[in-house]
Amino acid sequence: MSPESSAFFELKVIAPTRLLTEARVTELQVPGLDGYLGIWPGHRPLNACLGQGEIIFRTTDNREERVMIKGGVIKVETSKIIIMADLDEND
Amino acid sequence: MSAIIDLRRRIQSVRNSQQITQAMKTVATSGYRRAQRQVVARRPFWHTFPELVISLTRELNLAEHPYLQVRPEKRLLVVVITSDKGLCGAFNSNLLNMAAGFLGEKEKNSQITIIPIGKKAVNFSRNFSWPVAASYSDGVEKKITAISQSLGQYFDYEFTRQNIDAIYLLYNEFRSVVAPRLTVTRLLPLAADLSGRQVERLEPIWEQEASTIINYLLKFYLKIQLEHVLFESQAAEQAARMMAMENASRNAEEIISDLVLLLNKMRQAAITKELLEIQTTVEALQ
Repeated sequence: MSPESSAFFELKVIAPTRLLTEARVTELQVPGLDGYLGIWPGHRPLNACLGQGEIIFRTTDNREERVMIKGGVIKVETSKIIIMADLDEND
Repeated sequence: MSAIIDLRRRIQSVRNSQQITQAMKTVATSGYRRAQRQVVARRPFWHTFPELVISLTRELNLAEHPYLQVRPEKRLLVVVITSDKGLCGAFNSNLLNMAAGFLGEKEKNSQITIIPIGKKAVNFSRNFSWPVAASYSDGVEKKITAISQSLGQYFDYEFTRQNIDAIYLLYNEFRSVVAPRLTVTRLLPLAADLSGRQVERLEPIWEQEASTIINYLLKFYLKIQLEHVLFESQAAEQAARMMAMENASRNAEEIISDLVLLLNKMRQAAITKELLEIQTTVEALQ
């Protein structure tokens, strides 16, 4: 990790019907189409499609949280991550 | 005497109307709360989604995507969204006036097809000779997802096959309780500004083929936008109805107090007159 990169990401997980999560996270695992991707602070910008599975992340106060998704798209930028999630729900 | 009885009847009938407007206001208020909750919960997605699409297309220079093809507007598809029910002030009439102006203007250079959503828009479309591609009324608020889904597919089909050159949405956007905002949006082609291509410090990794990701997102784009607009219009409608009924109840209150004042004056005048008559009679007898 380069010294100027911060020790956490701003993570936003957004589903069509609601904002699922907004948190500062120190590590993140997402279900990519070819298996899970692990993302730590300082990660290179990344765009990827997500498959069905769980988003697992650890917040800055060291809590582990999980969110189930059906699919989606992740966009990783220098200090923030946006996940547009598709959920299995009927509104 | 008969004048007083008439007044009493009028007061009673205004009271009855007031009860109705108050009941409708209560119903609209709860409807408004629900609609507003839905709108607020969905806003993050609606706001982030186009941003994401645009920023991805920028990184890619995807000018050749069908959704971004700007053609001369020869064949237009216009979606007009109103409510099913009335009694919501100028909500529908303002929108339909704007629609008539907009369509009249566009008609000069292009062929128009319209899709009315909501009973008032359907009635509106019957007054004109534009072809109607599809129409939705009766219980639109319960079918928003289904309508968006099917219209989204239809738009995709027609636009990518170049059967239509642009799609416009005319609707009331929910801004505040006081007044909805009349809005015209171009749904397709997308107004992505590709000129200012953002250069990230690091070229991002594309886990999949870039076009796969964009297509995945764009597949949802039309549906999401339509859903957005329909939910907004619904919240605006409920807010407009709430305000209209609030005003009606207040007017009724004013009319009642005026009438009661008049009634009391007449009643007192009658009593005075009777007293005067008694007095005169007594004096005449002495």
